[in-house]
Amino acid sequence: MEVSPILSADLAEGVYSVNKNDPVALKIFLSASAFSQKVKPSVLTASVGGRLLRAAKDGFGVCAQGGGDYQGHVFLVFRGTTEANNKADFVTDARIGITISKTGLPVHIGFNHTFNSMLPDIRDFLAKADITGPVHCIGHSLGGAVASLAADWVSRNTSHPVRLYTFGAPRVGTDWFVNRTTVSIGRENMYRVYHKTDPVPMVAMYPFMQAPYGSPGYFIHSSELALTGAAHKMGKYIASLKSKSWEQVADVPDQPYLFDSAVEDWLKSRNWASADSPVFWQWAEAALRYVLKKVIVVVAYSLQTTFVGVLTVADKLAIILEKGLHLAEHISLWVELLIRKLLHALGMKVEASKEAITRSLIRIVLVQLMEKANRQARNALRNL
Amino acid sequence: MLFRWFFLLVGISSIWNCSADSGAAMVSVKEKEMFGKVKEETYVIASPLSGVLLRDGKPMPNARLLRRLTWNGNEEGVVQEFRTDEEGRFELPVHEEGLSLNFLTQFVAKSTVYVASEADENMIWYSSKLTPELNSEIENPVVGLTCDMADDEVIVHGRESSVPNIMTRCRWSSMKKA
Repeated sequence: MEVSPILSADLAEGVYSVNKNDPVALKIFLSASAFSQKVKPSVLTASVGGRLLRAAKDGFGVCAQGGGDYQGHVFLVFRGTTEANNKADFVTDARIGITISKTGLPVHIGFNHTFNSMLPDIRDFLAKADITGPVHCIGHSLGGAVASLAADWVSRNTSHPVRLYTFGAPRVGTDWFVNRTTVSIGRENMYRVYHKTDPVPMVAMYPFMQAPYGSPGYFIHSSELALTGAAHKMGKYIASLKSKSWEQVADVPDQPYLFDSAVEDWLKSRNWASADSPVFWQWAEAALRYVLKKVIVVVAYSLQTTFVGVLTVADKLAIILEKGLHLAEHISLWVELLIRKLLHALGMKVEASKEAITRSLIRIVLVQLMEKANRQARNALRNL
Repeated sequence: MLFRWFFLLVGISSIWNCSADSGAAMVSVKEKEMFGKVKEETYVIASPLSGVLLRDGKPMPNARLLRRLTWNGNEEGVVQEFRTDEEGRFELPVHEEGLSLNFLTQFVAKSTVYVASEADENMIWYSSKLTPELNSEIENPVVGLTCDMADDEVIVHGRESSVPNIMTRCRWSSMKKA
């Protein structure tokens, strides 16, 4: 049995009150009817931040045994950041590199570090808990990212069914992680909720991706036209989900950029895109993935030696796309269309000839694209 | 499968060169921009609260009340002192702060009220507040609030949520116990 949209959202918000040195707040949180009143809970303590910059200790989540309608279930509820002066949580958010998770998959280094610091407590709690139902992993923002890693770990290391509920969560891992975690947890057990104008789910940008694989998740239309930090607030998610079932939340048309044919139409279209629209980013990433896939299928084996050495992600993608330009027409055409579309959206000069599209130009386009995306996300969030 | 392999190759090797040059902007965020100054806004730390203080049903005149307020960036908090009048009535005013919270920070404020001294057994009110607006910790109008030191503490839903946010010895007409 899954947790309703509003209950999971209330828990994701309520856990923000809990921290390590406040037993009253924990007692109040655990009085929620979803939890058993008999079992002593555990407050997870995470080490937040990077070794290179600064580290801090802060309560980051709660393990609780279910009660009432959730008898035999377990809840792992994680919170995002509440730190105002200590930048440790932002260090976690900014330290975007890729590492291998406890389940052997490539994931965000900062989120993984936070999750690993809590894992002994989670493992200990699960070993002692009376579990006959699902393990519900819930979180907002950074808490949603940690909940995703927790759900992945539980699904691979225990026999308990898992449900994952995230609200405005950033991306946790690359394509490989997203695909494997979708299989492990089960697409139908993943409730990824986000406002269409919330900038956090769009970071970190490609090659990070959102789970479940190949699904838009539960996205909520926003009245705003631009990305806005207000759309990230947990209070806003609660307002959007009130009195709705999961079926009602999911009752939005499929997003067109999920279909290859629609992506092809977008690339071929003479209607030039604007990088100022939130929808542009979904199209741009879908198109980049679509074209890369076409090229990689042909040139993958020749890339191994190319990739040895110090190269950035932009370098690598530029190498691949440039190789694509020299392949057969049915592939090179898509590379050309993609670069022209991105050049135009970024307000750069659109080169007339195919020969003018060099590896260096492709690299510049990619770097500018990602910088613009990060800049838009930051601006939207800062102007709360 | 080939695509999977590619991502592992791109992803893993990027650990080593993520900060090597401007290409790192694709997957990293420049810290100095991220930590940029955020504009200051007004947050209500505690909404007004008024009622009558009792012990065993009898008013406590001229009693000392201490209110400790905490919020993001001030975990130690501030302590404010008030007194009940001759009939045990008290009025705790609104408290606001101008805060510059960074973009991902969830606002959390807590208000704890004690009688005489900050000892657990003297606590009559504890509430947490997660949004900056006035009366967001206790949405229904509080009518006829009485706080009897002899009463047990109860946990209350001060707002429309599955998760309660108040623990108190006080009682009022519209209170919703957890």
